[in-house]
Amino acid sequence: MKYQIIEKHKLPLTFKFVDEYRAKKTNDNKEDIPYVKCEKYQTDFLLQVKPNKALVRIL
Amino acid sequence: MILILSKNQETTTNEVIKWLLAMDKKFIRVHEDEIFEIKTKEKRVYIESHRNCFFIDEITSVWYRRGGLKFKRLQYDHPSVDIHMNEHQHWLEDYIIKTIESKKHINKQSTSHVNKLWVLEQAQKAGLDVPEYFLADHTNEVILNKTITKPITGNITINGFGDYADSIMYTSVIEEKEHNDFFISFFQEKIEKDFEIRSFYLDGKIYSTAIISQNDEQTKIDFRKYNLEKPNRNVRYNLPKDIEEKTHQLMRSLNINCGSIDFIKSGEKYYFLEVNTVGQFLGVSAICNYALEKEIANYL
Repeated sequence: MKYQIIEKHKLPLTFKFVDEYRAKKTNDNKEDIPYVKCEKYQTDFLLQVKPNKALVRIL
Repeated sequence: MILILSKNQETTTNEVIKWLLAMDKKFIRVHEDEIFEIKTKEKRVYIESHRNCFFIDEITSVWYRRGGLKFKRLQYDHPSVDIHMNEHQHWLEDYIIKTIESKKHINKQSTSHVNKLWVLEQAQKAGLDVPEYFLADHTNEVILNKTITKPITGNITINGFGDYADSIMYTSVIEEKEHNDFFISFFQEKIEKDFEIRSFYLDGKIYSTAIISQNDEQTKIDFRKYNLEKPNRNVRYNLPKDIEEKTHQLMRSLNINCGSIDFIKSGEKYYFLEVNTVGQFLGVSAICNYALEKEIANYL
């Protein structure tokens, strides 16, 4: 069992098969999170996508 | 006006909104943390939160994605007054939700959360093949290496537990007997698959994708254990007409008109696994060029 969970009640067998799917966050620095606020989409979590080529090259 | 009930951090909603903007359709997006008050003006009913304010009769269609409408409910000092006012407020809230759900919609707040066990029973009634399953708090009847276990919950993640990273309960094969009893768990016959099929259902139309996951040890039991180095091949797929018809019957019996449905193809059989009403479909939509987010925007 990867997870060592001690609980006062029994847990389903699925807890035996819990697996980490993404690395633990090492800090709370919000600048690391690629989200931006966006009024147009009415969300605080629009995923920022950086173009992988400089715009002048695309032009 | 389109009403979108979703969450602040929900990528699929953003993608649908991009299409709504392109189609010049007006919309209101409600987040999970909004608490509405029901108010009236000139005999019309409107609801107001810290972000939104709109008349109910302005809404022409609704997409229930996640979260849902929540209302501020007042409490009263005297118990008998409180009982009465609790019911009074309940019926006002119920009226708002019923009115909204009577509009053209994609899923409903009241029916969108499906019980996986109930769904399996309904799938059998609709004539779909379902791998044998049972509930147990021990492994006495479990056939080792031929039985899987998986959560019966919609949310299969465990986040922020101690020092562990964000984690998922994947579908897993039982390889050994347990000495001790555990909390009642779900067991199902393991099907040797040719491949998996994920179908997106929207108002009677089915868009299927074959996920070739069986040749990779990592994704063999659960394709969501993504192999990022060498991803599974995903291709467009057409389910047989009778399977599509039975799926349609199932969705009607569950009173939902949108969802992602998982099948396993094994020989001549298509085994139904589950329906996920809030599933992620952007990945298969992009790979198979289905543009499902555009289909949703079109429907609304």
